[in-house]
This record gives sequence, C-alpha cells and structure tokens, in this order.
Amino acid sequence: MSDIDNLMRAIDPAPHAPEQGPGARELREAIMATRTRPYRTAWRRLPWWAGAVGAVAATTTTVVFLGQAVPAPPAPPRATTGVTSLSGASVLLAAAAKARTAPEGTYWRLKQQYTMRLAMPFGKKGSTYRLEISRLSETWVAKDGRSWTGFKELAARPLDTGAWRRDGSPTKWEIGGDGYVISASPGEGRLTRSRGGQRFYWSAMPLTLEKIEALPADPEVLKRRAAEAIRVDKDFVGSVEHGLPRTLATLLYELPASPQVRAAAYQALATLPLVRVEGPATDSRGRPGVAVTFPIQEGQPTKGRLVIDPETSKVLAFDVIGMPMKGDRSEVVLESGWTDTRPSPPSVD
Amino acid sequence: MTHRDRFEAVYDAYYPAIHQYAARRAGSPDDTTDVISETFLTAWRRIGDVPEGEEALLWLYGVARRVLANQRRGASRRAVLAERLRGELAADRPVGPVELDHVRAAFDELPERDREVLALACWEGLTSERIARVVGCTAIAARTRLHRARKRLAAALERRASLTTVRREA
Repeated sequence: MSDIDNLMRAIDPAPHAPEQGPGARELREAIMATRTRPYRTAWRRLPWWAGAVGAVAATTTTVVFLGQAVPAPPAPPRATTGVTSLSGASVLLAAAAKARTAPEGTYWRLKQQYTMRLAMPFGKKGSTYRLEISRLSETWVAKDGRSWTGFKELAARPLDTGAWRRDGSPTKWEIGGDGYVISASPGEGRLTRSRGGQRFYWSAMPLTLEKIEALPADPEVLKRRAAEAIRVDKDFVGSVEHGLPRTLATLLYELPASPQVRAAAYQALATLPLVRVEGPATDSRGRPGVAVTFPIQEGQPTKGRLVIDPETSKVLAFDVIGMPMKGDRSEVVLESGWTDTRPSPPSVD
Repeated sequence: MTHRDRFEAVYDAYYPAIHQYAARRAGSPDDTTDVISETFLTAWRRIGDVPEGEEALLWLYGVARRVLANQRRGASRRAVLAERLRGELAADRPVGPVELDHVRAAFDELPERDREVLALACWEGLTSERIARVVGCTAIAARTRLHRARKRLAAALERRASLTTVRREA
C-alpha cells in the first residue's frame, strides 16, 4: 500500500462506521411507509379532519397537536414540601425517590411521538399555509432479546385552515414531484419483528440487556461508568464532563435500566454542575413537568432539554434545543418502561 | 422474501456504509441526511433492481453518487422523511482537529474525477474493479484514473512542501 493511500486514510472525514440510531431506524420505517412505485391517482376528497378527528371521536382518545390550544391539566402538587422556588437538586432527588418504585414487567417499551412543522409552503400564491406532521415510533424488547419496532404515520394537518380552504381543502399533498404524498388521514400502524435482536448503545458502548440491568446503583460509580462509556467513542471531542449529562439521561428513558439504576442516574444528574433545573414547563402535549437543560458538547451551542415529571420520575420529552428551526419540532415520550402488555402496532391512545 | 424483508435487510446491512459515504462527501449534516434518505428511498422504490449480496452495496454507492451530483432535488422530501436523523446529525460532534491540513488542502485542489477515485479506493476500500462498477467505466479506465490521481496528489503534496520551505527561508 502506498504512502499516498496511508495519507488519504489519515484524512478520512468519517473514519468510524455509525450505528443505526433512532433517527436511522425511523427513516427506514418512514421510507417503507411510502409506496414502492411512483403513482398518480385521483384522490378521494375528504375533509382533512375526517380521518383524524373521526378516529378521536370513535375511541375517545385525544390526538394533541403541537401549537393547538391545549388546556393544561392542573399541575399536581410538587414534592418539594412547600418550597416555591425549585431547588435543582431537590427536584432531581424527588424524581430519584420515585424512580426506585417503578414497576417491572415482561417487555421493555419505548413509545415516542415526533411532531414537526414543514418549512415549505403549500397552497396558492399569496395564500399559503404550512403543514404539521406527526409520527409514532415504538420499540419493544423482551427479556430473551427478541425485539419489535412499531411505526405509524399520524394525520398531517394544515396550520392555517383558511388558506387550506382557499386551496380547495386538499387531503393529500404531493411533494418532490414524483409521487411522495403526505396525507390528512393517519397511516396504518405497523409492528415489525427485528431480526438479530436489539442492540443497545450507552453513548458508544454496546451493552446487552443483562449488562444494562447490572449497571451500578451507586451514583458516583455510575458516573465513572458513564465516563468510560463516553471514552469508548473515538470521535468524542471536548471534556467528558460535557458528555456526562446526556449519557446519564439516556438511562432515564431510552435504555431499559433497572429502577435502582434510574434512581442513581437522577441522583448523579443532581450532582453535576452543568445540569440546570429551569423550572416548571409543559411538553408539547401540554403535560406539566419540570425542564432540565444541559450542554451536549463543549463549545457547541446546542443543548439537551428534558421535561421530567418529578411525581412519577418519568421523562415526558427530550429535545435538542439551540438548533436552526428551533420550536418547529418536538419529541415526546409517551411510554418508557417495563410492561406486561404484549407488543402490538402503535396506536393513538 | 417480501419486498419489505428485502429492503430491511439491505438497509440494515448497508446503512453504516452509506452513512459514511455521505458524511465523507457532503458539505453539511443536512446534505448528509439528504444523501442517505434519497439513496434508500430510491432503493425502496426500485427494490426489485437491487442486486444480491455485496453487489447491493456497489449499487447503493452508485445511487448515492448520483444523488450527490444532483443534491437539491430531494431537499423538500428529506425534510419529511429524515427530520429526526437530520436533528441527530446536526447535534452530532464535529470531527476533531487534524494535524494533516496540508494533505486535506492538497486533496481538495485535485479535480473532482481524481478525488472521487481516491476516496473510493482509500475511504470505502474498493478495488479498481469495484470502483469501475460504481462510477460506470471499465476496470482498466478505473485503474488508470486511480494511478494518475495518486500521482497528482503526490505532486500537489510536494508543491505544498516546497512552498512552505520557500516561505520559511524568506
């Protein structure tokens, strides 16, 4: 092999093969939710709400869209014993106390709803509107390693109904000019059994279900293990301290950690100077909680923002803030934890 | 095997390679996302055309290459399909500082034809036979292109080295 080839390899801009993260898995499902061939048909003209609202009425479920006026339920009393200003550590420690009693079950389940507003305008010149789309994605993992992925495209909705009516009240929107279509009716929920089981990553460290369950329940030991997991990442730059909050936060909702480990993760977060408890906040579905922010990487403007419910220790939402298009997307956690419910295609409930 | 099973198998097997291919060539996380999603969307729509075994990877490289050459086409669709991935990549860590800036600069000043074959050979690790299949030429032509590209990169590096020496002496 020539010296030139060695130099070329040394300047490889992406030397490490990435693993499929949630974004990559969701892309796979989103692609398979489209048709395999471009097609052109006359669309049935249905009001855009016929699918979405009809389903809601029938099942008394509520699809809460970003930006809709949602009356937030009254906030439950906080566990901070009459203290009005929220002390950061006490909020996290209250959550830690609740985390210890989280239920166990047969399957680990993570269900998230992703909502975004498309930047591109639709409609007639001078009277355009934007669309909001949402999708559900779900992961189920059994103790024996079998795993399933669920995906469901939710109904898209126009953000300006006046402009939408002037556009002729369409219920399908084609974009890209080759048959890719967004629909005002929800797609079918699909559940796919994953071949080869589920692989978990804690930062860049691959972990089996057993190893995640066996993580230390002592906050200081857990922090040291988190630092080790970060150092496995060959691309990581900056201080490990900046990587700790996010790495610990993934144990709260993204990974099947035991109740004791989740409690330890909350306790560990309470000790980190970079973690800020911002105060009461609601997620995009209007659920009340407390916002916690932290840097993701040294020298980067982006921050991670968790909305947690200290009463139940559940993570309600996780967002990366400080990026362009901020406020136009939201990711909420609908389910995260062990359950005895059997895997089934995602539905709105 | 249904179309779905086949697509899932292809996606899972080659996602890392296509992600890397895109990240190496695209100018931004947005463009990387664009190339990944357009490439696999094409694979899904033409799943019957995707060859078996490792040939599938060369086929995907060929698609990704055309997407790169015509990048703006899918921008609006990408926003819908791959928004979450886009967010992940935008929040991702930048590549650390490299002590080899002069090599990077010498590489950047080569014509696109040279950069393409050098990158396929050294980053994707393809033989000239395989490069030929990705870029659509004969194996002999690919070998010749690769040989010339190596020589031109060596010359560009030497030129930079002598420039630096002259500057130091001045």
